[in-house]
Amino acid sequence: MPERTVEDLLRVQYVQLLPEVRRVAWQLETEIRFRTLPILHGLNHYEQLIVKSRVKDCESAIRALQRRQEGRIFDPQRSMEYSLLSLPDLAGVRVLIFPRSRLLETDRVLNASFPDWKPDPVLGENGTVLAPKYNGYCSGVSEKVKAEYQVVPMLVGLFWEVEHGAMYKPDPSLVDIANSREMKLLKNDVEFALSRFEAVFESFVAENEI
Amino acid sequence: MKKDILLKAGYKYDFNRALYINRDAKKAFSLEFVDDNSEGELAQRIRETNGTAWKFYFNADPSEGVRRELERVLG
Repeated sequence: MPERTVEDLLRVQYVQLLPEVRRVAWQLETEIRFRTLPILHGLNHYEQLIVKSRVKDCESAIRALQRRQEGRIFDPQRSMEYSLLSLPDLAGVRVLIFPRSRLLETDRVLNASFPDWKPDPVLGENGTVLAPKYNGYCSGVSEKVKAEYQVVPMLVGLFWEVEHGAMYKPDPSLVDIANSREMKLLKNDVEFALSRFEAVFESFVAENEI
Repeated sequence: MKKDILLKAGYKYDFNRALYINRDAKKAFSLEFVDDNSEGELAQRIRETNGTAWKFYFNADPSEGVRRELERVLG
């Protein structure tokens, strides 16, 4: 029988962990929905808040762990040292929010609810924070599966969903396109335009006291 | 900048492996090695002469298995 590869061993680990990862995702989503409920009920008719959770799929988790290795390669001689538990986002929750002023409020509320979680913001090309992001453990549910939540401006978040789905998920070979200078510049332009749209919208609302 | 030093010396960045590779010199630098070492150190390593086998500059020395796989991929 051929020896199991590192990927095979990680697939086994994934299946064993999956029920626990699901419980963490449900717990985190429920807790975040509960904490943001007062904000949700106070939204104006033009404002939105959406909470989504996801469990990282098996192959994405393995690729993410592989990307953390030098040369992006697993060492077969160290196969027992690799663990999906080293990933910070096996379970994840994304809070999509519009407009940006509500984002800051939501970030403050959640930050107070998860004070021990480690910040790891999504940064733009020039180092600005595009979206606050944190990772940590859901105490009482799992002491080994780490989870992540991020609070994302809705327009940028929805763009990322399409962009990531098109560029990374279906075919890893498309990574060359995603990493091309032209696409990176276009991505920055889109993010800038969407952020600008939100900023101008907000100032318009403030001026007109809608 | 470190990236410019490598590009000027004929290295190309491989996104899939996160390696700066020069096939003529048969040398490859991991992104982590580049990040963790100074420009001076990098320039010195680039100047180092190499034989016919691939030379990998990693923070943690790659095992035989990793070397073999990278050599197979790099050709």
